Amino acid sequence: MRTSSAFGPRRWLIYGLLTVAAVFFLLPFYVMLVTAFKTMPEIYSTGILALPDSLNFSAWIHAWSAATIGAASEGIHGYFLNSFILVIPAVIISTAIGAFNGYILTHWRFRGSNIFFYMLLLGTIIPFQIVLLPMAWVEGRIGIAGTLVPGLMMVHVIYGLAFTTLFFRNYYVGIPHDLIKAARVDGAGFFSIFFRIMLPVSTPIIMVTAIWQFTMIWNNFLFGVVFTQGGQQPVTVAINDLVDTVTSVHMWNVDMAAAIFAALPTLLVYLIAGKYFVRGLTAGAVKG
Amino acid sequence: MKSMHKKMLAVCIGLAIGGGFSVPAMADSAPSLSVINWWTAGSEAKAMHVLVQMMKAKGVNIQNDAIAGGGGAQARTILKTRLMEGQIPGAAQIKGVEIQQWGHTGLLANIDAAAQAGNWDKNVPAVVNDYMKYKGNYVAAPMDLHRLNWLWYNRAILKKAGISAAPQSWPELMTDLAKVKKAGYIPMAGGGNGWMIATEFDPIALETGGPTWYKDVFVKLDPKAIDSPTMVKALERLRAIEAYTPKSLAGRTWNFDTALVAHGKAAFQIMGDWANGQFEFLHVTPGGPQVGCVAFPGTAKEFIYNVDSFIFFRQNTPAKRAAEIKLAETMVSPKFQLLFNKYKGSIPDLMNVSLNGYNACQKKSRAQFLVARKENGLVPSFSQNMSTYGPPTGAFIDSLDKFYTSNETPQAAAAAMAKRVEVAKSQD
Amino acid sequence: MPFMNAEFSGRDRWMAKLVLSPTILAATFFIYGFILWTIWLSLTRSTILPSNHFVGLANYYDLFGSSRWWRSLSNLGIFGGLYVVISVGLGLGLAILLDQRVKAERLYQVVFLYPMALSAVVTGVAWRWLLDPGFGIQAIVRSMGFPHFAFAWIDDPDMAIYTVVIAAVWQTTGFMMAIFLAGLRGVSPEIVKAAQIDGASTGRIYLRVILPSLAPTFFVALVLSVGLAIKSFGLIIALTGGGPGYSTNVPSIFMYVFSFQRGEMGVGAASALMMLVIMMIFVLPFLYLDSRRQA
Repeated sequence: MRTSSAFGPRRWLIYGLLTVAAVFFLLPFYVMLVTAFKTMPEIYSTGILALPDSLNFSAWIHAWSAATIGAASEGIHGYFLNSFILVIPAVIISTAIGAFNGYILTHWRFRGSNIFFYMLLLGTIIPFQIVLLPMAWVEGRIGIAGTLVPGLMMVHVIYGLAFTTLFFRNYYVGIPHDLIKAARVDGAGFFSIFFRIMLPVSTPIIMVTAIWQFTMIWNNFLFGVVFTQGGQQPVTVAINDLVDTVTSVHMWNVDMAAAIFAALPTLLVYLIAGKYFVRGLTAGAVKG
Repeated sequence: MKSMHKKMLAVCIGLAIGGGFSVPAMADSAPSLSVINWWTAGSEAKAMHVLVQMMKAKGVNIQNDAIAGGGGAQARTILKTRLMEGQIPGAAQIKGVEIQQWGHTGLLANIDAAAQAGNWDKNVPAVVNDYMKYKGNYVAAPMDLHRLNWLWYNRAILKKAGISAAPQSWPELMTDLAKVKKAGYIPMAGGGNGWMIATEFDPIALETGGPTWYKDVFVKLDPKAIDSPTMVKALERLRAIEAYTPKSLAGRTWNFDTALVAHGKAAFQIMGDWANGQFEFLHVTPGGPQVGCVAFPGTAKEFIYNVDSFIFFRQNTPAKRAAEIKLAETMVSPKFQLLFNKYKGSIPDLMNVSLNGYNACQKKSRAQFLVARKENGLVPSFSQNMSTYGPPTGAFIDSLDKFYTSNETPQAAAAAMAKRVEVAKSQD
Repeated sequence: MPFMNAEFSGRDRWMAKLVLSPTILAATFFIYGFILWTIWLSLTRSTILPSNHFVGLANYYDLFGSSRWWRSLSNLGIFGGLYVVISVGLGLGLAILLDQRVKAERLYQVVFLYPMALSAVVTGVAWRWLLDPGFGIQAIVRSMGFPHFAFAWIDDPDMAIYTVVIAAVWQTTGFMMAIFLAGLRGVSPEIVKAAQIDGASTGRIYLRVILPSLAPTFFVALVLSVGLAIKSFGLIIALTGGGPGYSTNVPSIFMYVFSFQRGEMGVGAASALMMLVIMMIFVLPFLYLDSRRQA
């Protein structure tokens, strides 16, 4: 317990402002949560902030295992699994390549390596809509069109490389070059320096990169809807199929429950790894 | 990874040399037909499942590629990327005038064999068939026949407001709306996004100007008909309806409006017959004791139609070609059409099947369609992309939306609409 | 033995280039190759599908003759400007508050960050309800005894773009907060101590000592938020669908609608290139500054 002098007006102001902000940030989630527990007649008759009459789990069960989405009435659980099958390799591969790229662009520079880095950065700002058609052409030619892995995974890896390279490059810039020089004098090579010197100090930036990539790939809709088919779609596509219809009946409680299910993995990542996120950013990514 | 990149390099060179767009004849490993559509949820999706089952019984595997979003925008994106991938779908949900645009690409298949087997020429109305043909050959199959000009009403509210029968003319509608307002209920549930406003304007325009003017405006895109006193009058009527629509409902979708009518909170709703499905979902049978339907006042002998359809693509194997014909046949078979349209709230395209088990409103729809056909009262819905191609339709919807959500005068709106449509015409 | 070392590092230099080469190839082809393809597409009469019918700059004339495109550009200016300023400002403010040794700091962090975890398709629905005058914030405030309170921006073509700002700020401010919090934690305690000993007030310390040392953090926050602003798509589609009318269209929506929905692929490609040019205008100065710092 703090003494009253420590908890003066300034503290009250800080907590007051934080609480106001928290209410603003939580309000939409609150609406989603209470709606998911309501029945359809309740949704039609009560206000959006009203608490449900009772904790009704039927919408949750329906969303998970019975809702009609695309080709089957089995809910979102299969699509949920698809997202994991996609995200895990995509995050690992793009992070690993980004780590090597960052290492090379900071400690194995060559003529033109900086120019290349700036050219790669364009990959962070390219409007994704323009890659849809040519990428579809490419995937068709190499025969991986419509597949979750490697088709969609490849797209995410390619367009994630600019970000992962940026993160690692900015982090590795902070590691003294003398360390690498000394190791080379001791006879260490390209790979042994990476695995013995760089990797052991990389945990924070690996966390940042992995969290960023996980969030971006898990929540991506545009690539998912275009580059997969036939029940291989990620969960965001399934949610959209539920929510974004025009001339059919809407069940908002199911929509909301499904959306919360779809968000759970990312929320868990933030809860468990959130502190690494800030710590990792602190350790270098934002120092430019 | 490295070998993959090598492959991509080869592709890169290939792209540089080959350039542009071509549809490759790729060997296909999966013998199934992909059917791209945007019926992803609820009863529409269930109806698609029935189609898949029926095809399976006939030995054809259907891959149901259902993609929601933007009233088909997403599905069109998918269709285009599939073609770029060289994965030619069996069929895709494309309707109205756009079928002709796809005809120009040379990618569509001739499905005359299916039409002959089902005798579409005789059983399906010519007004529907005309959309399905490109240069005289069938390239598409119709799924349903929707009517736009419906007015849905809650019987109990009308009774409490002292209204003995549903309105039959524009003045009657105005009087009734005023009575409902006085009685303390929401007179008209509606408004909202551009699509909803356009859907409401569809019957209002027809009622104001009649079928010939309607077609001059929305089919011929005649600037004199658009920037005309008739259009001004129609826009004034949209304003009059808007005055009875609570502003506060704008953010909700039409489903909420239907619920307001079903639950006795609002008296009227202007909406296409897909509202049948929403009413049934709310355990209210349209045409039953709670909710009634009447042709939008003044349009009882007219019928604004909307037809969902599938175009078929050329296949590179005889097996796939045969499967495609079977699919088209099944889509227009009595068994499937009856089942599908019952779910959808529409009526079958086949005029020779009996509507047993359909609700009273659907039966009325069929009867009034036949009357309208005789009386030259059939018009294509502009709001559902049936009357013209994409850009002018977009121009109409944008203009109406601007008018509805601002203080623009009807005169200024009609002039702006004519100008926008001209620009949109030149964009094609 | 310097000779041996030089030999060894030569092989390693070759290895470094080899490991980097897949990325170089991917970037060349999948970024620059695709941009070249889009340039070509923008010069052709491509409608529902790409074609090779060359029409020169006709699509660009159509694009800049379209009032919808101009509206999209001005919306991007309004939306992008407000969004970047507010999300960076609010993110910084929240980070400073959390940096005051606050209890339950991690809980607040998660509360501010979680919107990033939700799919825009559904957060759009939740926001649409909240912003709806009939049963959202306006109705709730009115029912609390303020019958004349008005907040109906989402239905107003002139104001709807500001609701997009609200939702976008909500979605990514937490991320900006995390970046700034990281920056604040990276400030060396010695310089802060020194300023305290000089008797400077907390506000002065932040303004004169801490914030200037966060310049690189601002750099990253601005680059990311400008990129997010220009690429905003899913949230706007889910919130307003680009409407009422086309009043909340931005270039990314314009591009998608024209390329895929309306069957005017050539005009869509032209608009995509214009988007890219706009981004370059914003990003090139940042790259220049970065290269100066590296040198």
